[in-house]
Amino acid sequence: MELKFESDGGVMLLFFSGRLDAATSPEAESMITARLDDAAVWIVDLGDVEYVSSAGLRVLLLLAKKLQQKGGRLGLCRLSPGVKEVFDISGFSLIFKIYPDCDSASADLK
Amino acid sequence: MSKHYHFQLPGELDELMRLAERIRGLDEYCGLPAKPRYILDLALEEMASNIIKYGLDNRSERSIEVEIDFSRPDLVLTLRDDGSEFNPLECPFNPDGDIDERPIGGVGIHLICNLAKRMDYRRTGNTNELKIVIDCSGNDNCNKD
Repeated sequence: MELKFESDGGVMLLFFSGRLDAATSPEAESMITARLDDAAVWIVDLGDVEYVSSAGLRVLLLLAKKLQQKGGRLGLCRLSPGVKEVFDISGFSLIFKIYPDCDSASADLK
Repeated sequence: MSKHYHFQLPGELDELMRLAERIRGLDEYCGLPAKPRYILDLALEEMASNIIKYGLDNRSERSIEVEIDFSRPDLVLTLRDDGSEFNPLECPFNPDGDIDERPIGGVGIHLICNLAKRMDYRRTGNTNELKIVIDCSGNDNCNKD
């Protein structure tokens, strides 16, 4: 798993790649928590994420909750078909803002 | 032709994730279509981590039997443990609710209940046995997601 952070004009772009599972989630959570105050609007690009389990969903849910508490916003983009199905079945598609690409997320959330 | 694997998994999360990685390296796994590959990965992680977290009473000497029958058109993943009686098919989950009120508990079981073709649970003596049947029909497409 790799995380790449790009902060630009109050918007944090987070590029995930690899697997977001019980093995990688603790590290992802601590890396995200460390950058939480860097921006109020976060866009998470999941295009290179091949697998998300409930442990990975939990990390994204925590990020959404923390941003909401401080009046921020979160958008997810570029979900692969397998990952999208996990979001749909868990009901997470309804509570997250999901976009086809980073540009449309950025235009809507800025 | 089906291929059968039997693993003894120590009751620790790190060991589970190591086993999951090992299974992802098997030729039979790699030869599956993308969807059943995802479901098998998810079923093992969600259901075995549940047993490790809640079923084994924090006793590290406990272990879980993991069996995978790579048959077609249905693959069967079987988990056996001697922890507390727990039928995941009776676990309630409500997929509604806002970010604030959304609990994460039960999501994994809910996912597998929806993605697996069938799940059967039985308690025999002091053993939980969970059979998860995964539809593997479709074309092989290893590394061609």
